Amino acid sequence: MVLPLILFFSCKKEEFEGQRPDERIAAALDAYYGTLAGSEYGWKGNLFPAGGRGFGFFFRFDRQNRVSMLADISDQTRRTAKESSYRIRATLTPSLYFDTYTYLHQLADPDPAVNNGTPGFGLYSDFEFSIQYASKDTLLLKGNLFGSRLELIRATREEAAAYEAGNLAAMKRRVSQFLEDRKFTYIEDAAGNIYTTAIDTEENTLIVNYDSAGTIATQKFGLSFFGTDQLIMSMPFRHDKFQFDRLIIDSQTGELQAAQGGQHFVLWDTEVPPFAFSAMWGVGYESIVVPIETEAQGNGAEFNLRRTTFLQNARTLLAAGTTFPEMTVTIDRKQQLLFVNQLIRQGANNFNARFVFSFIQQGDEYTFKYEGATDDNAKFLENAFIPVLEGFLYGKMQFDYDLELSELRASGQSGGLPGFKFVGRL
Amino acid sequence: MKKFITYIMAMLLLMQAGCRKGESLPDTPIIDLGGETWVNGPLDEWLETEFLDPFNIQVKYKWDPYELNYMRNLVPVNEDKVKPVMEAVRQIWIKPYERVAGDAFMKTYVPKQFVLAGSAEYNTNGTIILGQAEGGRKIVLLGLNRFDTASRIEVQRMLHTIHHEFAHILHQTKLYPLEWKALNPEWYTATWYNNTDEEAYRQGLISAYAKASPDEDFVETVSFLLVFGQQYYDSVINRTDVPERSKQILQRKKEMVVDYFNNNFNIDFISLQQETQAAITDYLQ
Repeated sequence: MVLPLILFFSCKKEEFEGQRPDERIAAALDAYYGTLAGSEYGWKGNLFPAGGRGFGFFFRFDRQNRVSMLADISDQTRRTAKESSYRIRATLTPSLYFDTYTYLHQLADPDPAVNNGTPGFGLYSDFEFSIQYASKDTLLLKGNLFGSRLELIRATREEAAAYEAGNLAAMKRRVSQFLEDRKFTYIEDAAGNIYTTAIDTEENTLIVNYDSAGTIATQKFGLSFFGTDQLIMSMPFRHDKFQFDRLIIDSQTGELQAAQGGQHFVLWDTEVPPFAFSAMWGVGYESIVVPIETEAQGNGAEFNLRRTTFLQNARTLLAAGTTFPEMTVTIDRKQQLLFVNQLIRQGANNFNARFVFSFIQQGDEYTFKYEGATDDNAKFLENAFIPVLEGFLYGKMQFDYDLELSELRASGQSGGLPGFKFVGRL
Repeated sequence: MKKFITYIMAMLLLMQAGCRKGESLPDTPIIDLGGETWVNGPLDEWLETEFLDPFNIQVKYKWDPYELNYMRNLVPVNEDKVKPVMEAVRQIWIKPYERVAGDAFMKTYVPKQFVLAGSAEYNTNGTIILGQAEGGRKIVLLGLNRFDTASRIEVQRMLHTIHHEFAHILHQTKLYPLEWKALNPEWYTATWYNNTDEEAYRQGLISAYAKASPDEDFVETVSFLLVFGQQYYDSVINRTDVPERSKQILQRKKEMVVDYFNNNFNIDFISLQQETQAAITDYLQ
């Protein structure tokens, strides 16, 4: 009885019917090649590296594994297309590899000379992307190494023509022109809440500040120049019921508007700061960049005296031609620390000397205590820099906007040492 | 017992019958088991003609993370750099060896794969890696996006990497004399990067990296002698700050390199050195 049963079951085979898994993968890869190469007018792209910021791209793929692209990285990459190779590879998920060096790799390059990024990491961007969603006109991809986000949207004939005529550069220029004469820009929602906006066209970032239950809250987004007139945010801004996910350049007036779906919100501008500097210092604004080699308008006499004494001291320490262009004063309110970073320039090389203070804040006034030099450059420069460092130690230091010039600036002023006042850009 | 043997026989028959299949294997290639494919361009064809056909060398320039150190963040090579780099490899590395050591030597010992990448490997200790050799089979050349055919420094830097890595392949095949390891073992250190080249000279080593281990010392010595030439090597020996004992060690190392190439590969190292120097000069003209 047992043997016939064994015979019956041991010989029963469930034959596989249909495509083998590798055949299905091959078909999927072929379909992705078809989608990418099938867009007659190419693809608009938004790349948001894991390290922040945003970069607009325009791609044209073909079936010979070639891709050409424009990228919002430098003036050259915005205007001159570069061709390289790509392939779609079956890894854990089908992945798009940009497999020879092109503009996109500049963001991931571990050489800090390429992108001023972190040595070994660059801007924490990717060039191998898993395809997470694909339709005829949209591909959503995620970086395999850092998780950067790449969105590809099928371009129209007009959009392709605009990109290839240098529209990435033109859009950037229009936004810079819009910001040039506007000190403070803000959006007002239907409830009358104010949201200040700070757009950095060099870094491609947007900072939004707003009053949240009595304290200033801040959110930072990457911005990607996109299509003919848009700046796509790395994620939508949301506060209560108010939200927007992009900025749009008005083609007639050149003015900027925030937008979500069909709703548009004007970016107003004002000469009067919407929020006091004391509320914004360390939240919306973290650093004041103070010229050292030149005298900034509004500096106090005592600061200028100490600044020039430092320059005389420092020039004797380093090779002829070394300059000390600026001092960056950065506050960390959470850690209650103030960093003073003196830039040292030798030819094309920049070096930093970083000094740190702790502080106690009473109202709008800060009392600093010097904690020391944080690196070897700072230790080397410390004695020469003492005149400036000492100026911070007389107590009752205050920081405020300086609205004398069209450029947005701020000052630091000692209440205990008359004339120790420095002014720099925000 | 007889019943048991009959039972076993029946089971064996069942197993054989039950497992027999008359199906043939699929005749279509399985994806990624026959290597990836892409549409070959002029560069692929040039590499095939110049390296794959004559030397059986595969040059991988398209990004493949599995060929590189996945613990480090690298970027691919710029296509524009591939041909100049590989032309330099052929003219300044392969041809001098062919002239001095013969065609058969190169075809025997040449690594069968070159993997190219655009950036260097950045280590957490602040150092960078410009190349690697693996098991006599593969040479990885890094940092090639900086390669400049007009720059003697850049050409020598890349060539230094190749000669360094090829010397690894040679000593992995035939070990240098053990006496080498006893010449100045007190200066080998894992933290070689805390030393300058000048400190290494004073200790009887040709570069700071030569301090990493006897193997690295040997291949650095070979590479410096070939790429930077005898004049450079002598200038290090003749430095006034190099102690007499270190001068003797550097001189002894050079003699051992000459003997090593002669005894193991029947190569006249001095001729190879002269051919390499002439090839560098020709390439840069």
